[in-house]
Amino acid sequence: MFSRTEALNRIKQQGLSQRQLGYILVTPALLLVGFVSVYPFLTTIWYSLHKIRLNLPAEGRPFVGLQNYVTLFQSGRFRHSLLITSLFSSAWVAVEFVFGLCIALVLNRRFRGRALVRASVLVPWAMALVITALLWQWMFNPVFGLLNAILMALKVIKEPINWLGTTAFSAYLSVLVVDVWRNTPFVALILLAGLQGIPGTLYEAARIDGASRVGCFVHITMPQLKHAILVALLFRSIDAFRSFDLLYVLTQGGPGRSTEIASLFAYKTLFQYLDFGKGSAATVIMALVTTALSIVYVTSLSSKD
Amino acid sequence: MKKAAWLIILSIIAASLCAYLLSSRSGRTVPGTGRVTIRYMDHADHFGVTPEIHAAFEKKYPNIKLEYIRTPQGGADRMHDKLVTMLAAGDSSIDVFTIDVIWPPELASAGWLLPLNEWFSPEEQQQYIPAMIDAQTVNGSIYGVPNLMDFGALFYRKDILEEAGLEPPKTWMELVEIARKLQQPPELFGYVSNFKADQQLMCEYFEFLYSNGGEFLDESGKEIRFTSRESIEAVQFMVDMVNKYKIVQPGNTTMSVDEGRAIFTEGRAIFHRNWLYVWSMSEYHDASKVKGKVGVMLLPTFKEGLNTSTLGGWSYCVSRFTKHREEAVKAALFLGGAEVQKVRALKGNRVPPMIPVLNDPEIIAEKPVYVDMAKFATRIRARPKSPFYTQISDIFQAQLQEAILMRKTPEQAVNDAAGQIKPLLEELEW
Repeated sequence: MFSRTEALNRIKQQGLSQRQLGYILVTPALLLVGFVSVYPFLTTIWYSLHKIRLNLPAEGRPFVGLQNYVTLFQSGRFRHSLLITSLFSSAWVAVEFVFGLCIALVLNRRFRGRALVRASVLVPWAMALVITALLWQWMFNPVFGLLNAILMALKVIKEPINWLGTTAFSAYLSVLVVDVWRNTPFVALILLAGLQGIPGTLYEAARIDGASRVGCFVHITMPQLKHAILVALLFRSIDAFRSFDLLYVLTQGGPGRSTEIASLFAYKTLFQYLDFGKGSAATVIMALVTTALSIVYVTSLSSKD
Repeated sequence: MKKAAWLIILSIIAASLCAYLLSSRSGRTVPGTGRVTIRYMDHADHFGVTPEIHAAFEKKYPNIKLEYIRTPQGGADRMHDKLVTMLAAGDSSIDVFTIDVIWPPELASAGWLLPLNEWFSPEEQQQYIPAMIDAQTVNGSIYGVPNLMDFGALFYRKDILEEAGLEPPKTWMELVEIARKLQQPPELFGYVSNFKADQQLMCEYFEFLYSNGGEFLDESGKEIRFTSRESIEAVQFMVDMVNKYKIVQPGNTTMSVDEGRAIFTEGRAIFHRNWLYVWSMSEYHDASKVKGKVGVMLLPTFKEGLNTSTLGGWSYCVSRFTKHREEAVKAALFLGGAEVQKVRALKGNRVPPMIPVLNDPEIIAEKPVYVDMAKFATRIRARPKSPFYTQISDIFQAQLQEAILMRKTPEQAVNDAAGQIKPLLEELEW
């Protein structure tokens, strides 16, 4: 305490108040955040209110108000992409939560080789997503792929199935498998941390009172785990909603447009159609949705009950 | 003292700004010598000919140094998106880049390419295959120096056809009959195609369309012609190849062009439509299981005399944002010029788009197959020229896939595509 006041006094003598010093120290970080995050975001909003088509420069960049947003919501393709994105993210997160909880509960028990199992569970999550997606793409491949070969050898299917490119449903299912494989460890990790924070004395007391295992789980584990669950769901939902790489590699939105999620739609509009006005509007809408999602989660996190 | 602290911080910021500006200004001229480095983006150099090309260039232009930057992995679409991102930001770090034959209208109308009229004279242009020059010309200005010619061809297993005593097919229906007769899936597929939703799908569709006497757009590029009966028949044929005749490999809606090529060079297919590189991959590549067993021929047709190959190929363009215009133009002309093309043809196994190179006695002696391939060149057709081509084809591909997967009839699919493409073409008239 003493040394801190001394240091502060020295700064005071040199002419900087604590507040001023604070500002100076925080300036580089603020500049950086402003430059890489706030500025691009404001620019995107600005773009989204203009008609900007790079392949038609003669049009100029006229201000069009909310026209881009109106056009987007009128287009069935964009509405479909939002619907698909919501469907995907809720399905992914729900399945990952169930599996993640099971894994966390197992890993929280004592057994031989637990450290090894804990470490190996994390492997899928530690790999770069693009590489994961490429690996799975090869496994799904109907001519060279492992998955079809195994299923054919087991006589489950008669001829190879093109999982990613035959029906919308088979593509949904394949993508779900990959995302669950990749992200369940993350959910499990956070839930495991939550489980370890529950004091053992609670279970002891419950057992003395004659509570069953199920009773312990419902009345102790789940309520105590609430915060960890919300954190895991918050991260995963936002991440799932704006995910891009997985589908960019696996399906590129196909077959047809059945797996074209909002981020892929925005990417195509921006960089293939060169329509920066509409593409920016699509990304702003996505940002608004993820912000709304996080507000919902954060409010329920801070609620006291 | 308070002022001193602020002063120090400000001067640090100022100093780093100056350093940044200085480095970006003079980074590529060697001070005092006037030597300039030109960066060019080009395809992977599988056969290691880059050092020879650089040496020849620097001998001719001692004041210019070339630096090779590889195009991104993953095909033309990735390259397109990378270029667009770079050029939209006015980035000058790459002076010369190679572009696909379908991009000039889009990139030139965005004002990102330097017109080369001043340096690339009509006499010089006449030395190249006309279709390649035509593709690089937008509103009367030339934007690129062709360096690689490509078009669709039919690769087939000579040995299998000979054993069965069959002639190579002249029409698409003959191809279907032979494929159905001789195929033994999954060990041997009849026909390997790429119906994945990218340019490949468009190119194959155009070949069916044109060889059936159809058109995609009208002459002006503003009216839709792909809802015609010829076009619907062409789509129907693609649907039937997959679903009725079952001669196409499974996974054709998701496989990239090189995955398809791998099936063929592994010896697991009778017919394969692809670009000319499959020739060198079958004949010269170590992993090929079909060396000496492959024939290459003009694509079949529906109606006699209408055989059509879609034009592919790449050309060097100069960025509008380059800071060394003269030097960059020299580099582009040299890289697409006869000397480099000969090196690439002899050692890099690439088909040159230049008539004098194709007629060079050394090339004729070493690579006689190029001469055969060049004969098909009269059958080449370019894809429609439009600043919206990327968008139009993305819309059309999705509908084609809907048809191939039998979620829509061909008629429904082309009409739905027309519904989405029409508003775009109307905007062109604006």
